Amino acid sequence: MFSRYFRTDLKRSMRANWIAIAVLFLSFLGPVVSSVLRSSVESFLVSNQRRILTADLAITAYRPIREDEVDRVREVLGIKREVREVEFVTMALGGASQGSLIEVHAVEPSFPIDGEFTFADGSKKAGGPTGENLWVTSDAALALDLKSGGRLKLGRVDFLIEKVITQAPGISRGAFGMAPRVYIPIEQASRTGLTGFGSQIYHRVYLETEKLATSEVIKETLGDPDLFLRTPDDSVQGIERFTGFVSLYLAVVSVSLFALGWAAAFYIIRTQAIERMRATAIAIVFGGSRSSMLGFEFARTLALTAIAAVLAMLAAWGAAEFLEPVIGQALAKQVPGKFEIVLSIKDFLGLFVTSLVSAVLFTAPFAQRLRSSQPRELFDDSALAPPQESRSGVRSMLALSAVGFLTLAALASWITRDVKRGFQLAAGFGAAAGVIHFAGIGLFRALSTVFRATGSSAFLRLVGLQLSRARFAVRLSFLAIGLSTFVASSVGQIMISLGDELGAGGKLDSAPDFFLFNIPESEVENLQATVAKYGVSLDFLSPMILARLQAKNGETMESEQFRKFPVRITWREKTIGSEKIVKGKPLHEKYDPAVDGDLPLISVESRFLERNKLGIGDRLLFDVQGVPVEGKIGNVRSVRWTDFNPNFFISFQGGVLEDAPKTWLANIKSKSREDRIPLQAEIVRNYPDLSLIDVSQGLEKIVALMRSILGPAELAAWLASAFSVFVLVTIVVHSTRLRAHEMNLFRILGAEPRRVRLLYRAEFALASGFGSLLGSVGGLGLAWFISIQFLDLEFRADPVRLLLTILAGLALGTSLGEWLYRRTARGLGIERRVV
Amino acid sequence: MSDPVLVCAKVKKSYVIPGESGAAGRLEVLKGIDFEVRAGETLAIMGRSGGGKSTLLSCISGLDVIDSGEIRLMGQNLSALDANSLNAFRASRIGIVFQQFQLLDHFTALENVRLPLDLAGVSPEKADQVALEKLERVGLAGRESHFPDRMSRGECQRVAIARVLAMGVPVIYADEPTGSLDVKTGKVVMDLLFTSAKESGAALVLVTHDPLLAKRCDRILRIEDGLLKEGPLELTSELGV
Repeated sequence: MFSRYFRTDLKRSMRANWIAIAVLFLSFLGPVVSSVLRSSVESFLVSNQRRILTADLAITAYRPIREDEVDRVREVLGIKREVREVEFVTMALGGASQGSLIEVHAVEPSFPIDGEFTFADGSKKAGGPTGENLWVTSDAALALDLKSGGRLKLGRVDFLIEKVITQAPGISRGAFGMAPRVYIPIEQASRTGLTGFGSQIYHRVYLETEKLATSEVIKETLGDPDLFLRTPDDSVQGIERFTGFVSLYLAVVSVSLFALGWAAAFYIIRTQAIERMRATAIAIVFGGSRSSMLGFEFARTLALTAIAAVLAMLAAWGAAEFLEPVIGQALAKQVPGKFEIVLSIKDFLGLFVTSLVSAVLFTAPFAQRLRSSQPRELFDDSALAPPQESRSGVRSMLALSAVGFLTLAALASWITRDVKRGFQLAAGFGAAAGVIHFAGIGLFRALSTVFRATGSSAFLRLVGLQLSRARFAVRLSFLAIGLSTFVASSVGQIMISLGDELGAGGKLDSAPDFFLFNIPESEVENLQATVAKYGVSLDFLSPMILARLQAKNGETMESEQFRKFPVRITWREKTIGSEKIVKGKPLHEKYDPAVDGDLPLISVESRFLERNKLGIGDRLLFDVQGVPVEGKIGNVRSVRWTDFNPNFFISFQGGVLEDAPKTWLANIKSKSREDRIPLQAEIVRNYPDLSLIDVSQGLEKIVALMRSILGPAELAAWLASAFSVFVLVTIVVHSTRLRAHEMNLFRILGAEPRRVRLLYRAEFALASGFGSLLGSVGGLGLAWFISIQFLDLEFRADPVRLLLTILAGLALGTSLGEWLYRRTARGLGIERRVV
Repeated sequence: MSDPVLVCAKVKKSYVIPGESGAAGRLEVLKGIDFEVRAGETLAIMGRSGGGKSTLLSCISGLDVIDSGEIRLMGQNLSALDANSLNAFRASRIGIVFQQFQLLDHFTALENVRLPLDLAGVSPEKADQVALEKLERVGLAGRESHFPDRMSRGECQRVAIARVLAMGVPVIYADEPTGSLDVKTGKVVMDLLFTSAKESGAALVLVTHDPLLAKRCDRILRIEDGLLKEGPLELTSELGV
């Protein structure tokens, strides 16, 4: 019935509406793109999970898997096909004496059960190599400078390189995908001599079963904790963990953008609502009812949010076209199958629900004002009628904040597909916003008090007063700048620490060139002689003993981890450079019962101690190759794992483990870059049983990996900053009318335009300056926390960057204040008359 | 003599003063107002600022709820109507001209005049036709696409009068309609208002401070201490208004 009025009203407020739509569109875009990507990757993994595992079930052990164990599975599930594999890592020396750590997959000819090899010549084959042939993946061929028809020696066997693989079945599991893969026939594994004692060998059986079952069911059937089981479902979980991290990161960025955009849209629509109250009162006087006005406002807001949602979906659809080949290419290296972007109806529904909830929230301020609005105020003389409504501003804000938080949490849960994580994320974001906001308000009030108390000039007192009564626009500007500098500063400072640590002059220069492990005891002396020819020595030569932690203070260790995995232990007469005793005293070099008591003393790494709830004085019982060895925790060490030294969780005093079967670990730092390649070649050629990691190459990979993760993070941080500038601009555009009244008053009361302009500049500059100061310092704190806690980096703050971020915030605020003054003054005609 | 279109009987209205309790917490603005207006009659209500003139207007237009008494418009007791019925009733019976015009800034002159018709669900063609006629009637033909910020204050008030005329209501309330205008423009606007009301046969209730304007009305009432008194113009002049 009122459609014509509503249509006209919509048409006439189109400019403001489009700004609100633009802000909402940008804030919706992040969540919908994140969610679509997440859905697509999930769908891709689910549809490819059997192909990723290459079978219905994979059983893995550190020992050969017995036939009777396979038979037990046969009884329960029925077995159609069975393929065996042995997997290990080793050093290989390729053409031009290029060495690289590689992942060797020794497989039966019928490998894989599901999937196939694709070769460089375009051919495909469902079956493994035979004879003394070796297939090499293209990245291994590149790393070792190998060609089809060439030869590659692994241990004692010289293989013919038959084919170069462009896509291997399944996914890389060993060496965290850092080492490229080669495939050899399974019967050749033991002939290489690389699968002897001390080497980490995975024995695996792939099964095609008649029935499918979960890992838990099969685990009960097998009953042996030494056997690791993997179903197609399990096989994607590892990848999902990684995609989970990626989607968490995307969620952080998109929730930040969403919240900023949402706050701006809320501000714009709230400002419109305030301005519309008079129009609404007029409409009520001339026949409109309150309910129809509220309905219209809701419909209008819903239209804005829905249009923004539809535009975001269309943009996501467009982005999908662009992202599909990019992500497909990235995934193709790791996972078989074709990646396709899935535009799920659920993602769009999620967005529509968000737009609906947003509309309800955005209409709330209007509804609140409408409830208390009195059309009688249109009469000029309404001073006698005081407002009748109770002051429910705080309650309303709390209610709105609660609904806002729930929406943000629901959105984050939707993106991460994890309710707990979603709530944590929303709580973290809310806490950061709350801290910045309230710290700012406190700061403004304190500033106002200082200006007043110190008898500052009238101008400063006025600035202080304006700030202490900071309006929504100023608070939002403060918050937007604070949050964006928080994100930008934290990511930037981490990048700097990372660059210092791993870049030129950092770890890359100080780190050893090679890390050697699996050095057989019999070859230690020869190896020392070999490296001595190059003028270097085996640094930090340390014994490594595989043991099982069985009991603590006489009680069996409950953790499955200790039953399944051996612990690598050592003995050390004194600490090395990367270690520091943080609790307890240094241990005596050799165990002496008269001095040390009835048990030898152990030094435990601090995080291992915390994780396993251990403490000084605890007795730990180890099974060292069948021999029980007990020790007492004598001290706690912190270890800098990123120093690439032979580091251990558990270190005994000397004189206890010397007779245990062991291998050795060591570092080599070559004298010059020219020595590196011949030294590496000689070690690999003469000591085929030991493994060598090219640390500098590995570091470069780590740096590249970190940069590939942090690069987009920094980009996203700058995107968030750019978006916050957009938010600020829209805020200023919408503040103009509200400021006009204030500016009129200043003028009437005799303020010179110059002073008013300075006041606006100062108000915004101080708000933005404090915002960027708090955001930057908070970001610095976060960077410190992440660097120390997660990245194990030595944190180095960059004061120049910090200062620049604060100055940028200050400059932005000053410009905004100036712009707001000019816009408002121009609207009032002051600019023309005065300037 | 025609039947009264508006009857106020013993109308009382008070407001709660926030933060005050007891007798001091209530401000009695209208203490028992009695008066009638007949069809086609023009009535001026005068009084001091803050004397309750606007409160009375709010009450008789159904924008405020009275504490006691009765207000009958065209025989209908306003207190007996619920909020929605009151809106519809007001839209069809009462037109209000405000001192500050109260036009929608983002609507053109035509759209402002058309507003009550649109809200009443009148067909677009009919609404446009009526609105154009009324704009022409107030001398604003050709200005229909202009926005209020491009019009003079006198023109804005004429648009507001055209809006009331478009409603075709039997009762028009005008709250200081010349209060924002210069003397010359005010006279033109009032001539228009009186003539239009007379032409349409509507009763006109005028709240004003201006004795000369009040003098043009058939009757003058003055609001004094919350009560309405009928008296000659000279008495109101003595009040210093």
